[in-house]
Amino acid sequence: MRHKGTLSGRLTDGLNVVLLGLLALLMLLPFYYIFVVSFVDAKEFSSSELILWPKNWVSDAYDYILSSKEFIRSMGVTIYVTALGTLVNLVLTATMAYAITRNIWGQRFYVFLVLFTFIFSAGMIPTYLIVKETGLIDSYWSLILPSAINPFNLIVMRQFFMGIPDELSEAAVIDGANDLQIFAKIILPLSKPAIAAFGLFYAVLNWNTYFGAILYLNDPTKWTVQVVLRQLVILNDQDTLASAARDAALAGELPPSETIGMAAILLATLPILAVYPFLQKHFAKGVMLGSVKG
Amino acid sequence: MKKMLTVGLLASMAVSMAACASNNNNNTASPSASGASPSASASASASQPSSSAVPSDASKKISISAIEGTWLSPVPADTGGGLKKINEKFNVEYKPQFVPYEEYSSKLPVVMAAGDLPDVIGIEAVDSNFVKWAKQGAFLPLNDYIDKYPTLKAVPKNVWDAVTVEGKIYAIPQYFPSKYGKKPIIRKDWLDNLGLAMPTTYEELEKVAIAFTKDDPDKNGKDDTYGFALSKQIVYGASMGAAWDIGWYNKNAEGQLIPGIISDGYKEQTQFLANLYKAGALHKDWAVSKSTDVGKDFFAGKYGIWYEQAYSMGGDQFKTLKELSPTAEVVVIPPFKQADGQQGFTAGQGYYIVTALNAKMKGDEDKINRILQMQDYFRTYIPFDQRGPQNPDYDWQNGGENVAYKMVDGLPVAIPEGADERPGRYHKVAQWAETDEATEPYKTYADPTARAFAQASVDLLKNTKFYVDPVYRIHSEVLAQKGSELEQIAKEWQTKMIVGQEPIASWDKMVEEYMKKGGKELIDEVNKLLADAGIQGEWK
Repeated sequence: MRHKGTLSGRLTDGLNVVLLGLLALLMLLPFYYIFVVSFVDAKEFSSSELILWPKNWVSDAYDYILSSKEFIRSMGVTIYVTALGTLVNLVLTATMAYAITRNIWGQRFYVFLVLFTFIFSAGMIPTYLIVKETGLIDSYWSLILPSAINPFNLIVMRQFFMGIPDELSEAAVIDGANDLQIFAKIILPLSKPAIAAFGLFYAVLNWNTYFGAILYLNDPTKWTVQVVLRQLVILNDQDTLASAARDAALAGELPPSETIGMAAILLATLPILAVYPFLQKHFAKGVMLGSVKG
Repeated sequence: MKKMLTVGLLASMAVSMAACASNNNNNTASPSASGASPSASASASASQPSSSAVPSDASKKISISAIEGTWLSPVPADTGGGLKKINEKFNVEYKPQFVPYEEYSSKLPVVMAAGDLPDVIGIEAVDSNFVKWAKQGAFLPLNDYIDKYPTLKAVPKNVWDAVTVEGKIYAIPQYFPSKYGKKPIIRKDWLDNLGLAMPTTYEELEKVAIAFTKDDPDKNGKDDTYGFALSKQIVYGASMGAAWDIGWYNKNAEGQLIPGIISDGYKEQTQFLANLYKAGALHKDWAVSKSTDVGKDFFAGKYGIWYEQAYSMGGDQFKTLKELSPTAEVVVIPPFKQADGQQGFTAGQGYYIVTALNAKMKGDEDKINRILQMQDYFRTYIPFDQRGPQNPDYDWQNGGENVAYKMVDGLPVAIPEGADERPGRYHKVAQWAETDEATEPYKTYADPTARAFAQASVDLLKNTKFYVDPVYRIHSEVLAQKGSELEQIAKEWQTKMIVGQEPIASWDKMVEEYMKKGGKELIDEVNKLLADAGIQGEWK
């Protein structure tokens, strides 16, 4: 592949770096645009076509969002739901995935149950009814429990566990370990990359919790950041209908429009983005899980 | 370097994942030209002394739950002082639940199906769901209560028809003017700059639009203007009167009313737009542009003709326009004279949002009347000049002067921090105005340009005739099921015709497909329902 020293080799390398670099920059462009627009003042935004570098940087949009208690509160809710939810996801997924690698009674039946939800899922209304009958309406658990185990993640994690040589567990058994000890002391430490990868998958899913919040949480103070974010973005993107429906009769000064949406997007994405670099090495490995084995 | 690239790519992937996932919902918001909403509600209040609105049997505390959609952001929290004031005034325990309108059309059916329905239900428009639920008996018939409450009595027959299913009135329509919805507007200053007269026919309009494109109407020496603004789905079109509109006005050879979208009037409009496209007077990207973006461009001085409404439009866009082009003057284009001698626009439906009551309350007269008293109180119209601390109801509904609003140059201005102190925020209905003119839309804007536009629109439109589209007054199942799909078929053809991919001569092929895919059935059913109910289209 790499021909160090030869001219053509170096040329190819250089070309690759440039092309891939440009490609990467292209991916970043929308985010850059969001970033720039969030700092532009409203007047400049409405008068120019495309803004690549604002004439003056203003933080009006951020001041507005950060001064609204809804955004901060919903951010707190999302962080809470993400932390708790991901923990629940990982504990349940890992334990169940391990259990169905063992040759226990009814193992096939349980795998079937999981696979069944993979293919068929109940509609919105039956799910709502279950959430309601279990008393989860208006509880954060309604965002966590209905999607506690993702069947795809469960199956892939099972494959990963099956890739760990049986001899290790057998050796542990000889040393007197029971199933739980094997799981906690042998399997889990060996599965750190898988745990990290799935943790990340789950975390992103939880972070994006949106529709569940709308459906199951009647109290707007419990809504997640995505709901609030969408309101900020959509309201500014509405036709006159929406602007009219705001308290227009009490003609209050409305803060700049698009820029708020952009700033909100950035603020809501930042935390999850910040987690990525730390998990990145596991993530890259995790994506490959089960791609060869199984 | 390689590592950096990987990190970069992964990072952007992460952002996309986090950012995109919140975007996977169908956007159900934004009705078209006719739609808009009550703004007056925030300033809702009664002109009579408040004591008369307090229920007579007020001794009994009643618990009332409600669900409604909202455009407010943030959504009102149920801890606000405004809610407490409602509870005290009406001796109720009012529990409103607010859902953003983008999600409301998903949430309401779920709540319905789960049997969780609150006492009071707000619905954005009378759609097939409303009719279905009404037929299934989910809502309380209100016929016997109407005459008891002045603001309900004031609703005209054609608007009651919209919420009447099988002879029973199932909801209270909330006010929206039928006249002051979106109308075609033109840059008067551009006409003057080029020495052109206000167009009165499509030929003249075409000339004006082309001149606006080519003759530098804003005199800035740059070729940077378009004559006519249009956005995807042919919103808002170019109908200069009822005969060219999508409403049910024109008749076919058998004398049946037909939907405007397949009428000869609409064909003329399509031809007009196709001519403009060919001449470069439409933006090349109109077919993929969002109406909000096109609207913004109009108010940035890039277009000569677009649509706007005098009532409750916000008004900020005019401020922007004035800043960017100080000489700008925007007026409504008067309707063109039709072949049948009529001249006028199609009226809006005359309401926006309907409020239904849960059928389970049947028999609980105290509760029903308490709810209707609250409705009546908040629906009572307060003339514009009384909107201030001098009117106790206005003051109360808006949370008190210097708490939730302050007076600036004679206009009430919101104090954002006090928003939750406003009772009107928790019981958000529009005040029912006696006539559309009574809303005095021009008085509500602080910005002089917006004011001048609204004033000029009212002056023109108050003497303009309006066509009341009869189709809103009946409930056709075929229309509910196939209406939007059929419209989509026609619009696809028409979009192709405008951009020149299909000749206008294909119009008959379009009508044929429309008829075959259910249009025939639709027209037959609508005409039968109209004949049975004895309803006709009428000019007002």
